[in-house]
Amino acid sequence: MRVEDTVAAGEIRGRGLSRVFKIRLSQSRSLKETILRREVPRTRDLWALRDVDVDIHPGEAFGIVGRNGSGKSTLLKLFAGIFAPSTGVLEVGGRVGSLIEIGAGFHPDFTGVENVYLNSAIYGLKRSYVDEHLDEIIEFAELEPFKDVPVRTYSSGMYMRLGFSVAMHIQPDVLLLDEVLTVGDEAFQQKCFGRIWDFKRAGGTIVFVSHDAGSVERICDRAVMLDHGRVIEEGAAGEVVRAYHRRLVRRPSDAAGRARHAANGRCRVHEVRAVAGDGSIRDRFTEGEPMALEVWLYSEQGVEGVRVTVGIRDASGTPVGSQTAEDVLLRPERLERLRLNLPGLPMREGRFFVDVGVGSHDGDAELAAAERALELSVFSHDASGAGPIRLGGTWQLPGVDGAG
Amino acid sequence: MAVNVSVKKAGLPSLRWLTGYTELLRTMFLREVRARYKRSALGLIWSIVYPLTMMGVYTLIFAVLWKTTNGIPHYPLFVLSGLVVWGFFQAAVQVGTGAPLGSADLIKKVWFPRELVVTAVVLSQTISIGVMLVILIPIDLVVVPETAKTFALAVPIVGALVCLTLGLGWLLSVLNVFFRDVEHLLAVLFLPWFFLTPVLYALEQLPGAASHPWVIHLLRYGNPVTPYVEGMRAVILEGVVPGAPVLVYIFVVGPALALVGLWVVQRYADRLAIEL
Repeated sequence: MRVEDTVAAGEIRGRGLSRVFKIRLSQSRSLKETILRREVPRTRDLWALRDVDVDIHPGEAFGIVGRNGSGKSTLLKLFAGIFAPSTGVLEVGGRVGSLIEIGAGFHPDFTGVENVYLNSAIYGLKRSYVDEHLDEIIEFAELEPFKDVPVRTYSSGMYMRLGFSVAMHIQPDVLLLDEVLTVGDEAFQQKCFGRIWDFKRAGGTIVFVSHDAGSVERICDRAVMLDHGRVIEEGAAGEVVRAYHRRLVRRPSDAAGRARHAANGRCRVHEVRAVAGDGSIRDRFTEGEPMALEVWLYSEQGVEGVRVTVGIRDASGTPVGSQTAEDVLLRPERLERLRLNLPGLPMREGRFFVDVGVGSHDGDAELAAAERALELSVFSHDASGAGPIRLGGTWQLPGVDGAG
Repeated sequence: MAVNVSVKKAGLPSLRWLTGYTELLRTMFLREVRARYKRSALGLIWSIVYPLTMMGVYTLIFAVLWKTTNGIPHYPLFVLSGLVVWGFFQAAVQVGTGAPLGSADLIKKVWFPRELVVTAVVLSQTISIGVMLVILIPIDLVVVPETAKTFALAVPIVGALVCLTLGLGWLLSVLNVFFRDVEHLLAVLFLPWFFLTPVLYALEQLPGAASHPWVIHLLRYGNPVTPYVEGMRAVILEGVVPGAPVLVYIFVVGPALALVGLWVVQRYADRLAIEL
């Protein structure tokens, strides 16, 4: 199979793309052992992508959403040419800049400057062009003091900044982005978003992969949702993201869209709210504050043995934690209140979302779900801490007496 | 420019990477040269001092004390001409084999012809053999004036040797990605391999050579480095053109192995990004 006419710069066209990986079952990576034990390396086929058709037009921002292992990254790597599809035809027009798994692909032993030259050469740029733009690239990445240090000593934020800066300066027609914006400080993220917008306005094609469906919605025009390597939803970014969210709250990934229909209208999440220690209803809390999450459910018919799961995710969609109540009884045509008491709010700082899922006791049928039913802002009063959760604990320090 | 990434069938080895990616090869090569010769403590000096020291040691042991070198004229130069070839071969194959692991991050995230990684490090090793030959050849010219007629042949021999090294480097580097102990097995293998290669001795000069002719044959043609050592020694030290079998071996086996290695790298290019 061959696509006859070639694609324009910035266009991506794929037909029937599949990719199989051979997963090695034997643990041994040693030639000596393999020979001594005379074991034939056994492999199992894993289809990361199955029969995907894709058309991305020049100047379009295209999102790919899906859970871990759904094939998002594999598709992106096909676009980047890192490996070829096992079957199907893929054509990518023009120069492709990629930021996959943070960083444009650096040699750890090379210095920042050397990596800029290396990367530019990979993208086929002349040395003279890099000479001219080197200062600009380093400056954008805010790495002037570290430019002659091997990048293996860089922090992940510095690594990402350099990668982003290089990728933006190689004048790509297509920019492949994979979760990059989740690294680095907020100021630099804003700068990146600004650059991405400029790039898009100038007619560049963007392919953006993320679990953070919110930023997919913000950046992208169109999107696809992948599941087990297949496209299961395709269309305007907002709609695909909403479909993705609906899917996320369903706990078993495959189990039954069938059951969902049957459950429809029978049961719903009426309201989710956060109650502070003093009884007031709020959506802003400080870290460690006692609070309760109230879930109000309504059911037309009486149901027994219901499971109700309350999950909290951070702004990027990463789960922070969840709690499940088993064996809940819902009486017919009544608003039932469930209350999850949290003696101390475990999150430290940031925006968080509360999801609620209601399912039958065996987990097969979904009765109701509410994605992002509640948004919480948590503020920290301790500037010395870091990260999404409050570590807590008490210190035991070397005493003046014991230190000797 | 449109990139057509469709299913790659393993065809003949392609040389398009040589023409399309000269800038990249140059960047990688220059960087490798800088790291190896400029940044390391002794740099280029080390790559000259080391073989000279070894020459001194071997001469002291085998020529002065043990006196086992009867019949070999100019033993120090004899040893040095062998060490130049062997030293390049060993160092280049060893660093070439490990090269893709060092560039794993690069290989996993961007596409470029994978053969370049090994090529750059192997080529960077040619600097030391080049410098050694520049020092050694004038000395040989003074000591053995007949070499004036033959020393220029060193250039094509080095060319074929680079092919041999590239070929082995490509092959072993792919194997090393699948089996991570190849690098270490190789390091262990190099010591016996060195003694099986006529660097410290000449095959014919060995007392037992006449009674074991087939062993001599096996050592000469079964060990791909031997013809290069003997060929190089013939043209820069003895002032003779090597015999036809050795010449044919040099200029057929090296390039042939390079093609096989290239085919293997291109055949497994896809898997490298996954296995790394």
